[in-house]
Amino acid sequence: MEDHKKTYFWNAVWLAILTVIEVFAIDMGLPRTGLIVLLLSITVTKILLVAMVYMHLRYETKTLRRLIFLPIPLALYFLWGVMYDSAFDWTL
Amino acid sequence: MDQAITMNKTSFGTATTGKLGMWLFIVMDGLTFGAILIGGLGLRIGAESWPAAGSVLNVPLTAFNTFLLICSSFTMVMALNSILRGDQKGLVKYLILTIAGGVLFLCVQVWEYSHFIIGSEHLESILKGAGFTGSQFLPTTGIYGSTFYATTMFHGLHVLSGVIYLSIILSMAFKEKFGPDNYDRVEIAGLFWHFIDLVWILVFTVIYLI
Repeated sequence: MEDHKKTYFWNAVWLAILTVIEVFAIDMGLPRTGLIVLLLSITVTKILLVAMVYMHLRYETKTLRRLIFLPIPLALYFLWGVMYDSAFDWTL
Repeated sequence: MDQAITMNKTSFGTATTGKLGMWLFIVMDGLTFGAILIGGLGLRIGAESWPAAGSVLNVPLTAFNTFLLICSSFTMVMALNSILRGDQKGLVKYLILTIAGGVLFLCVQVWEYSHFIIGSEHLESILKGAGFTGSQFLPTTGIYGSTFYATTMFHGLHVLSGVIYLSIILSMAFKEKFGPDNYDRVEIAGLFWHFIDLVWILVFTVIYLI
């Protein structure tokens, strides 16, 4: 593995900047849906930065990356199921 | 100590069995966190009212905690970078900084909890504005309270486990048990620590900001 000091440092700087943007975004008076989309987009970006750079996923093989990212659509499917359930309960 | 057995190179590159085991654990633990967060979102959708972001919870303080975990992730990866270059002192220094970041994170979380559990007139007025009664914010303060405590406490337990795990790695580093050809355990511990940071990024957004 090579020396990636600068990459690690700038990754931390970007993560900090994105966190500051998130905190200020909640007081920017954005429409609710727009705010949620913005916050979730920033969160996904931050997660990818940590996973790809700090957890070295970008240096791993495609098989390992697939193994890790495949359960995510499954979790989203569960979310869809739970959302339907909760709406059903509360409108009954 | 030799580096652990490496798996089939065509599928997993140079990843060791220990590293693959940690990735498997991370995927399973990630699904557990996913279930807690998704369950919380499900309850929230069904709730009659939900406090606005920053009205009850202290967002700036938690943003500082997020910053702490980001810094500790940086120091953790620097610890691995140090041992890859055979720098024993660097490994010890960065591991100590990482552990300190974790301990400070826990201290801030305990301070936040104590502020909520002890309660105050100021907190009472905030809670009243958010539609709750009483001067304390407890796990029994509606679905909001139980969702907040269940998620953050589960994460806090992970941070505590990570601090203990890294302390064991540090004690081994003091004895110079790692080197450029034997860094597997440091890398595996690092994966766990970065996972804690990764999950907190999600918890911070879902619980504190949305």
